[in-house]
Amino acid sequence: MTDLNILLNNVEHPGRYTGGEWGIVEKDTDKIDIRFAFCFPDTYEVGMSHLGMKILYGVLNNRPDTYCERVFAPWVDMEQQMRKHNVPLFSLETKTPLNQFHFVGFTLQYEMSFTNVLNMLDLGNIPLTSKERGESDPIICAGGPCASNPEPLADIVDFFMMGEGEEIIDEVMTVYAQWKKSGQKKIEFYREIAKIDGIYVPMFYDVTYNSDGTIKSIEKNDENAKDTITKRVILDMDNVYYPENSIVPNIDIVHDRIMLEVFRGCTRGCRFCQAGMIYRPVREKSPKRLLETAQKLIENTGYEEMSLTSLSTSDYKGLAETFEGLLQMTKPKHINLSLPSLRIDNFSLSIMEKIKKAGLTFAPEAGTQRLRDVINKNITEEDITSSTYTAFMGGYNGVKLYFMMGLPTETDEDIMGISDLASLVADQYFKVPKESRNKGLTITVSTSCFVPKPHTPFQWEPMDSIEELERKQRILQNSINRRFIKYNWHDADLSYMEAVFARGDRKLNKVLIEAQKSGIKFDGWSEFFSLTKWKEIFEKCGIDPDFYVTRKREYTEILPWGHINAGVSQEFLKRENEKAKKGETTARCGEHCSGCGANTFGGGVCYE
Amino acid sequence: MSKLRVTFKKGENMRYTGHLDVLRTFSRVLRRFDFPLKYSEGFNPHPVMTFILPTGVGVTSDCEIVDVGITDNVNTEEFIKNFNSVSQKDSIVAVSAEITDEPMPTIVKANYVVKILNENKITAEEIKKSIELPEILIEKKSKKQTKEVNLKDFLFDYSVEVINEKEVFLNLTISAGNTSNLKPALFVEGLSKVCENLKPLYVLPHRTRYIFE
Repeated sequence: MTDLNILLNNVEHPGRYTGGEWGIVEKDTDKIDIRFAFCFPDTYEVGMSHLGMKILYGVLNNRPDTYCERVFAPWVDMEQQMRKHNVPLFSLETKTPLNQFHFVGFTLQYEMSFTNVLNMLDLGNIPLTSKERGESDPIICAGGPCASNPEPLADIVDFFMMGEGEEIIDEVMTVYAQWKKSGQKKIEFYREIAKIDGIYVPMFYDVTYNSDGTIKSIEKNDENAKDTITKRVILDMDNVYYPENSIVPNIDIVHDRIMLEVFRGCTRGCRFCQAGMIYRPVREKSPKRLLETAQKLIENTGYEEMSLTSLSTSDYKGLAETFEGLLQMTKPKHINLSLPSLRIDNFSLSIMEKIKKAGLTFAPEAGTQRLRDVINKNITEEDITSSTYTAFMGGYNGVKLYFMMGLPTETDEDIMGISDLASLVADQYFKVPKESRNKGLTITVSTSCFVPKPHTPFQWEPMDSIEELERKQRILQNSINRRFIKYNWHDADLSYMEAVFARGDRKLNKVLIEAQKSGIKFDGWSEFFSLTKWKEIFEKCGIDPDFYVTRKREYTEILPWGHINAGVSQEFLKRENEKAKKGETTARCGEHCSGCGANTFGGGVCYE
Repeated sequence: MSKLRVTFKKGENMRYTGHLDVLRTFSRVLRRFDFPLKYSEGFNPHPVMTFILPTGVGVTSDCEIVDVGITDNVNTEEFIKNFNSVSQKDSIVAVSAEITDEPMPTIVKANYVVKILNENKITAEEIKKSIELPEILIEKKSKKQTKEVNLKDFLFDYSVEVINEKEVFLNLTISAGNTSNLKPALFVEGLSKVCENLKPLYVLPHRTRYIFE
């Protein structure tokens, strides 16, 4: 292979491509049966911040017969160098070209990384589609939240793993090890794993369409395949594998710290939130297990910061106990504790006082109570004003407020409500006596564009058009008239494309392939994203993207992900969508069961 | 309390790591074993560490020096053993350590071995001839300004060796330290402007020795 230094001397941030960090796993590749390339379809700095990769890297490397290595998407300057010098995409650990692995596995964290999946295959000299790949090519697999609608990648990925990966990936490797000895064709391996709960092999399903482009039928064509693929769930969070060491990068990454996962799922049931639906039921770790893990991670990594991770940390029942324990552990070693995802309605200033002051962020998501009830974001104006008042009393002088635009039933009044709410928060600041508040109030209002996601109550709803979203952004911009309130908004063009792939079907595979050919990549990075380029691709493929974005689906329509069970029933989602239209809220899990269907997994909050 | 003066190598695994990240990595290694690391006072305590000279991205070294604040006595032999057992191999390698009250010595020069892979065949004579020119001019950027300098003013000694007709090993003694500092990569860049045949595919500087006042 070409001396990598030639490439590295000509790129920015060469430390992204060298490997050799503390905590990497090294194995003798001659004594390994299965070589797995774990691919994150974004930069090193983004991918290395991802907890799922740390976990699965550990799970796979715990197997003596398997060696899992990491691969990230090279930045465009590096890609240029690689193509110029004919260097294929390689793993960081052993610099092995991607096409020499048995498995190439992608984690799909956001739709806008799909083009990078294709580009990484191409850079690894691997044919893009299952059909083009031969017996000696790697097997391409994928998982992660975006796998819950796998169809836009159905021609590209050989099999998907639904839900949480710790157990299923191990089961697949065991089947592979046996299959490899048998000397049979790949198809036999796919047939064997199709029997495993949570495995989806797209080639075993045929999709037919109606003349209007909607789906007529999804039918399996192999007896080993399941009618419905149900996601996998880890029930025993205390005994499931969790890494006690972490790779400590040699360069700064996005989240450069210990991540301590507290629980999975969320009891809140916000109707727009895919994570809140597909990670059900809520399953917690015990404070005891968390403290043991934390101790090991502190000793093994030497990190100076630790962050608790979950979808809603203040809902954790053992928070007080865990927090006290962690504080005792971290304080003498000068380790900063951070607790993101603390909620506005039980925001605890006492906790905030004991840790390094981070920015204060609240996510009311909608400007009026009516709309907050529609989306089941159970926060009141009173919650917001009282907690911001307390925060301003406690010395805060800045707050960030996050909202969504384009929510179902939204009117211009709701948009103006965002500005009113920000103003109300400002009033709380001025209520605090001058001598006890910190000078220089800044309120930052940010709006994102609501993208309806599969497996949520809004999966049937149309998304606002780009024009409508931009009109709403202007309304809000014009209605904010206090100088200390700053307004940022998310690019509607990007959200539009996210919406295409979020609820896309198999017809989009050719769009992705065409996009890769024309050099589209890193869509999540605003410097590369261009809707104009995408529109050319759609035109070339004869596909109308509005079909996926702004069209309302009937309840009777067969959705592209209709054969995937992400844990909540369609009946529940319909019920929730109807309640949303009436502005009726749903109580959180633990208070009152809403019958979502996640109790079929037999554990978690449903049985507490 | 005194401080612990550690001499360490910055190895191949850390070549493309910049100074701030070397600092961060060093402090993380110290946290992986029982070490009486001293923290600064104040709202945002950080480890008390002073590096003799930042080592930039792309440069490896045999001779880096850091003063580490300590709150308790340290057995230097055990320190080296403990440190290296929890530092990634070929990254930061502790070589020697001493407890001292002395201020950091002042660097005036540094010695580098710069490995260059040249696009074309080249001889040591060609390179020597160019280095012997009275002037090698190049734009030198600092935080405040960009000005044209004569690289020869920074050069004290050198030797050249060429292996396999394309691998150049340039041994340079050049200005280093706070008063006047030259990056070896800039020297090579300037040299390639006057030495027609020198077209580096890569430049890999390795710092071998500091020369003190």
